[in-house]
Amino acid sequence: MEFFDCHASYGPTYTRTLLELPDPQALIAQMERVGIGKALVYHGAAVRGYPLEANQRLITELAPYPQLVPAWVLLPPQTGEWDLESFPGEMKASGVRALWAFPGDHRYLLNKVTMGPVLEELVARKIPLFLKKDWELIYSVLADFPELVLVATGHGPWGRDRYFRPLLEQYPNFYIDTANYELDWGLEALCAKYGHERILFGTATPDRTMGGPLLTLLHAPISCEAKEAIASGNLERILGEVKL
Amino acid sequence: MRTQLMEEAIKDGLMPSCPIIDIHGHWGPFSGIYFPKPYGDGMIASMERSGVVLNVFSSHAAIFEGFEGNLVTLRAVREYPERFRGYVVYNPNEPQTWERCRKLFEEYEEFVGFKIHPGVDNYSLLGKNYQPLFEYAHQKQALVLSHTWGGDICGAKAVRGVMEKYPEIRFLMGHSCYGEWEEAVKVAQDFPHAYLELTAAYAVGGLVAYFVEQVGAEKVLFGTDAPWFDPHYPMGCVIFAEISDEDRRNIFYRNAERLLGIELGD
Repeated sequence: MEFFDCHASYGPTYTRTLLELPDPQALIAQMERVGIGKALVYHGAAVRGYPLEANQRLITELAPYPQLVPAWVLLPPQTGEWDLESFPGEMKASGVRALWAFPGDHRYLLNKVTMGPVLEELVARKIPLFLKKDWELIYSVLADFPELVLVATGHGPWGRDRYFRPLLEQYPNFYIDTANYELDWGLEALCAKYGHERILFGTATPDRTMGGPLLTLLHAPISCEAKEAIASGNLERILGEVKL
Repeated sequence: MRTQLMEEAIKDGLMPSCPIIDIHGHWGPFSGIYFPKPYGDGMIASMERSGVVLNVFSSHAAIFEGFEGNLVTLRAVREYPERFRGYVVYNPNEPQTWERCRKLFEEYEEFVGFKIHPGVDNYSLLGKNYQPLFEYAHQKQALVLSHTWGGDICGAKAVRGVMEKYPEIRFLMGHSCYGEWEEAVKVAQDFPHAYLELTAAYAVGGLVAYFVEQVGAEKVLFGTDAPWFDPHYPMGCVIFAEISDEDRRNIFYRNAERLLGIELGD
């Protein structure tokens, strides 16, 4: 089975960490150890460091490694740091087809007032936006942009089905990743009710380990078709639908 | 390089040459979370597809609803005696139940130790109402699984306080004092009968290898919080950690065998 991790990073975290992945080679070593062939990757320095510089470093550093697919971290446009006109072209030129947002770390509000024009572009171009767990934020963003391709990641090991199932029912382009989805029989129950199309394999490495989500999916009591879609097919489809 | 246990786990989802004892389980539904299959048949099906041969648990009823919930545990173990053993849950906010807890432990072989949850009970590990339990467990060299988590109530500092006074308790730091990794390691280093238990902690990048490097695999035990977590998730975290298969065998079952006084064999 081919695994395409939707949720990985490398580089400095600027915090105490037990698993250092300072460069792409270190991330690839982890992937090879576990058996993950491909990963959608943002630069760790884009969170605590300056996102726009880290975004550019990411492109340079990933160039030799086609198995690592770059994802950028966005900022609001009002300060001129994120250019509303040019970003789709820059993404296309750099091979970037996915974005992350860290509004808390970067001190802005991810809402219609601040990010309306950016999110409208994302909707029009079907660019997926990855967000860490913040259910009120996710509910609010999807209420204003119901067609947005939004991936809720790292949604906590203690079973968040009561939070995310309503979103699966309401919004056709809402996805979850499996990085923290440890719930026993969770994948089986989720696939039985909602299908497998909106679940993406993710690991949250280096914060979390790759082995847990991988072995869970590999031996989940769901069909081979569902496993393959979750492992890589769904993410490939989402990225393939991006219009730049 | 892939080891034997890695190959077995990847191929079949279980390891014929390495049984697993889940030292930190639960039973039944819980208000805060949706569990698809929180009872015996569902839990056993999970155990069978992941090679967990024995689950040592405390029922949610005992943790959240009071002493009588221990009888739920007792009935469950009696229903599936080959697959489960129980912890007697003691709530320090109900100190009048201590003697009944002790009798349950002494009179029913279904129980192999005590479980306490200072977080749920909002009661410090160092509080006076825990003292009868700790005194007893110290005298009997009994197994105590405590929820431990970073902070004042049940963090590493509190565990250290307990172990300094009652060093003969076989003390399992459930969740390994989550977040206070270095301090938990020091407790496990300083006290021969203090152990790191991996539930939830296993997922932290690099943590399993760090624990093994610091305290040795003989002081680390495997747990899943079943029916909370799919056993394959924690299993994958241990299987792919940068440790040896001998370390994995210690974590998966040998340490638990020793503490429970049972022998599964390879």
